[in-house]
Amino acid sequence: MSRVLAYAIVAAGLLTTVPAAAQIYADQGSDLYRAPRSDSENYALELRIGAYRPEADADFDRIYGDQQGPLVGLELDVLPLRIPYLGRIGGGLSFEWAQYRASACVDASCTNRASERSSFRIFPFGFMAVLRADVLARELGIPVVFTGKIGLDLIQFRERVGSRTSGSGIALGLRWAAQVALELDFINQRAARNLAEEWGINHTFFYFEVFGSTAENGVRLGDRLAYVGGLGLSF
Amino acid sequence: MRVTLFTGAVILGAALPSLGQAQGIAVTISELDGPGGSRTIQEDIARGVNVADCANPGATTFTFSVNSAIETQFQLWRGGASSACNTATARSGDMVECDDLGTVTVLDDNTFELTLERLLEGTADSASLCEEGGDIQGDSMSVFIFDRSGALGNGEDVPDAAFANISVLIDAARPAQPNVDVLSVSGDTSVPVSWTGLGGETNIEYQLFNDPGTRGCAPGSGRLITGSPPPADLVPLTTTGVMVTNATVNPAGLGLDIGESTLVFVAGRDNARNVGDLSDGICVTRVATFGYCDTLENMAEAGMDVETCPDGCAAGPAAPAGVALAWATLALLRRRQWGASR
Repeated sequence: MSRVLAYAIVAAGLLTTVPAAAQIYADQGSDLYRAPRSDSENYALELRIGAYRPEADADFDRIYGDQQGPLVGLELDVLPLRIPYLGRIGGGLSFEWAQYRASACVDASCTNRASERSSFRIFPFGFMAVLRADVLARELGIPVVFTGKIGLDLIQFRERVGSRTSGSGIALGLRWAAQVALELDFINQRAARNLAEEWGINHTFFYFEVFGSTAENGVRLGDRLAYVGGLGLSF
Repeated sequence: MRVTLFTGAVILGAALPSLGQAQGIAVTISELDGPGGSRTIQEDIARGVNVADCANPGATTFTFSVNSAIETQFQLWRGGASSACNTATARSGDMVECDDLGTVTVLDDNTFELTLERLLEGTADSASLCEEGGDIQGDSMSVFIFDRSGALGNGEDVPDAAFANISVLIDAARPAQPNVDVLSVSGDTSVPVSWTGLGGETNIEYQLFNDPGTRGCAPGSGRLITGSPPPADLVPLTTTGVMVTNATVNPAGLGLDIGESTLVFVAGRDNARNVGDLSDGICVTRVATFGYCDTLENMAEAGMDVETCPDGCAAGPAAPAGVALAWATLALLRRRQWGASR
């Protein structure tokens, strides 16, 4: 329920922000916004934080409750190809981390717990094809970019109970993601231009991404629907 | 170059806290040996005299090293932390604040020794430095070492070139009893315990104690008693870092079987290595603990149809598609790179 609420809030935020930002461009002249566009915009770096929870089973829920992470991570996209009037295409590599902690169970049904702590850590790696549709921003001056990703999810996991490792391994699965990003150049176009000229950073953006994974290794480590958000740079 | 030399001198000065101040005579305390331990490292000597040393001041000896091979005798005076015993007014007259400790003879190896008992001789003020209940951070006294070649009298100021001054810290106040946060904990290999930090102390560490072989959590079941210091011969289970107020206890490491309990106590240890009174005992019980993977394994062993957490690598649904997409992307990027290089 809380997840649905979060989606709703983000969607509402985007629905209200994007038209306002587009209006600002219209007022200021979209040429100013389009100016930083560069054909050398081959990379995107994303700092991400969000909610993630392995869809293991009821036993996992019983031990670790409804913790959602948080999931924190980093993604680098390499986008060397431009498809005219659509956007850029390439590959992406992401690395993330999340941890779930609880008092260790004393019995199999986990009705009693010890003072000792148990922790379940996951390290998801994503190797994905990325399509970054920036045609709205580049051709129409609407600062919204849609991105789709699909590829391999590799999740390394380790569970520790006290100082003992109770299980570890690697799970593989399919990973997909859909992202909507709001480019921030309209807030201060002069600063955006300076950033592009002096540092080669063409655009900065806030983004929201929903994604899913089917990774499994005995335990279902994937999450059919998770979300992250954060700050990104394209350069 | 000059800056480098100055910086080096500053660093050296900071590293040698018990070096006599810059006069013609250079004196250091090279060893502090007593019931509180044998200390030869400057950092340990600078921690000062502790309760164990004060309990037997006649057996606590300072060894001073001097740089002068000419002088065979020095005259010693003792004052408070800020006393200037090199001035005539501090040694005589109505404003006297220093005590004459007599002379010492320098040995062939350019050292001389002084017992704590002798350092404390004289006024009641100095003797009380070694009584419990003093400043929790310790009290300092100054030892002035005068060159006797000039046959100085009490009515004269001693020139800078003719004396050295060393500060000696005496910490006769043991840390108070810590308050533990939880009196009963359980686990198998790593059980967290925590307590409230002791205010007023700086550089305090904490030690955890258990009387080996004792079982059960009844008070007084071993040699350790709440509110009293631990026996001197008992080795602590662990010593925390400075100001750290939590630690872990390994019930299996204490030799407990599943279901057995024992008491663990916490005591503070201050900068002078005084160990304080023991806290209330924390009852540590060893119990078998389970994580998620253990639960799955237990269910599988019981004949239930469940997957376990295997060590190794396994693939979930649609993983091959993911692998194929990842390879295709890599191939695309390589092709693009190859194309660009042509």
